[in-house]
Amino acid sequence: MTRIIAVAENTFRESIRDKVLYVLLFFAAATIFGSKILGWISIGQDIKIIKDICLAAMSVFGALIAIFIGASLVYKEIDKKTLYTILAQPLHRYEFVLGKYLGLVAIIGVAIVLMTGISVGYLYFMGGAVTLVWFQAILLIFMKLALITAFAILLSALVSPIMGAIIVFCIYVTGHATEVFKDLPPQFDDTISRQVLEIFYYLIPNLNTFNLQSEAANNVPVTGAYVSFALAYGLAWTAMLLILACLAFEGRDV
Amino acid sequence: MSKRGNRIIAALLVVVLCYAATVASLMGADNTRTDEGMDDILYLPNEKLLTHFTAGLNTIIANFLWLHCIQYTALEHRGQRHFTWLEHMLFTATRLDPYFVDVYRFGAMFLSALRADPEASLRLAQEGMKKNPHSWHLPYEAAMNYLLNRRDHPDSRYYAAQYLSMSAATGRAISGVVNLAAKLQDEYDLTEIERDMWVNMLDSDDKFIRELAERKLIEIELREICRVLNERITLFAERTGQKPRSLDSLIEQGLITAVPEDPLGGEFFIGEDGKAYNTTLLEDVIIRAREDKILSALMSYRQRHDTWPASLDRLLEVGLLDEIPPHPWPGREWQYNPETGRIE
Repeated sequence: MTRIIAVAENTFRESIRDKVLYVLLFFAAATIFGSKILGWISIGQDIKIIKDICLAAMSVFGALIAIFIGASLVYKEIDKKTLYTILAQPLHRYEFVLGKYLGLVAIIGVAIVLMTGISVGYLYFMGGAVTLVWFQAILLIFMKLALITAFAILLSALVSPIMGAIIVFCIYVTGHATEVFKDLPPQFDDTISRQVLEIFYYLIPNLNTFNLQSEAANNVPVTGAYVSFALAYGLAWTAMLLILACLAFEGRDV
Repeated sequence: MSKRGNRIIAALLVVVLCYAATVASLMGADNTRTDEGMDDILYLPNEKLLTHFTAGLNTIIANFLWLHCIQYTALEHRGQRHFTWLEHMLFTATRLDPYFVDVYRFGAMFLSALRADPEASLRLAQEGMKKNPHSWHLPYEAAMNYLLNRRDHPDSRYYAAQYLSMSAATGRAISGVVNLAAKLQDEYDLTEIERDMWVNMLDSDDKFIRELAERKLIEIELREICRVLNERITLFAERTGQKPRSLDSLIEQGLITAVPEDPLGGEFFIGEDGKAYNTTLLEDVIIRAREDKILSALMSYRQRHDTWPASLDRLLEVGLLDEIPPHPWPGREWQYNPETGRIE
């Protein structure tokens, strides 16, 4: 565990120096502050629009951080040949992968905390208020980003950073659309296609499960049971992906 | 100046020219696009499919669509007033963000008031009510739809009363809505709906609303007692062949055990018309009858003539009232003071 934490700390320090992180955080802050402009042309929905944009900024820019930094995390070590030095230490490969993952998740956590602070401050400044559902939505966004990061780490151990980034991006988009496999028109009733597509529904992570943005922006309460199920779903997927990432890295010839 | 300096100046000039060309061409493209018409730009192929392919940005797209919808409505209102895509845009926005109450609310207003489509307006409001049962605005909009745009519907006031009751039952409606709901509920026998409404309002955060709900629940009981007393009076008339003189007559006949008590301090009595009344309820009816019709007619008269009318009949002569509403208290007349305009 100490070795995993050491790698995580190192990854955190390394990632925090990455310019990409600051560029993305700058754009996220600019988006949050710019949200008021849209509010001006609405009919009194300023606060709702600001809330929507704040949460969307956390989700999108958090995912971009996970994709851009995560997809190159392991590959960079191999490319720069620093991995040989690390692996020469008394360190298991799975410890290296888990450490890298936890380091990146910590970076994303810090980014989310920063964006939450900015959003809450800005909302209070604009005369809005946040309720419990707002923080539930942020918690699930963080869970979603942790899952995306696990995908990024898995692909980082398998393919090049560009290819990994493209695949994770595709998973991000498809993951939000998986309900299309379940929400089929009546023509699919009693057909084999429905069964096949329903299998796909369970094969691809449903990222919409972590989407409470509508509820948060409109102050619609969400039960603790739902949040627990969503967290359990996210944790199970993340664990599965991390195990696969460890196996992939164990089997990789470096 | 050196050759290098000349080259730099020439290059900068080319840059400026290129920039000017981009501005000119963009303006040309924008002008051309305006001529193409709005409908093609607004076309959204399938709202259900769109919901799945937003990459988690459904609420953001709903916001943009709503903002676009406002602009579209304004443009159509100033232009051809067809509002062809209005309904489609509203239903798409609400599908993307089902809790966006303002889209249902203002959308229902746009559809009924601007596109003159009360059916679509009602559909949108009803859809919103299913998703947002705690919003008082949506049943209120549905009620207004019946009262203003579907006046010809034979049961428009009855449906309006039901929707207003739903609005008031949320416990969040403004006092005007609560009053309107109470008025229409009196017009129809919606006692159960009314009782549910006030029971829900007992949980309101507002102290005034809670006190009002407590009083209204007592008034419902008083009305129920009056109804039972009237049944007993009918029984008395069947047994004795005459109307009872007072409630004591009912006790003597064993039809009631005692004169009911009014926790609000009023009294039950039998009026000259042989019906049971309660003074607390009558006071309320008197206030409404006076304020709704006579006082507003008096105010209109004063605005026109800068003085109070000499008598209430004058309001009939100038056409401000079709008839003087009878005094709700049996056997009493309105007492009007032409010097102060007060009516009791």
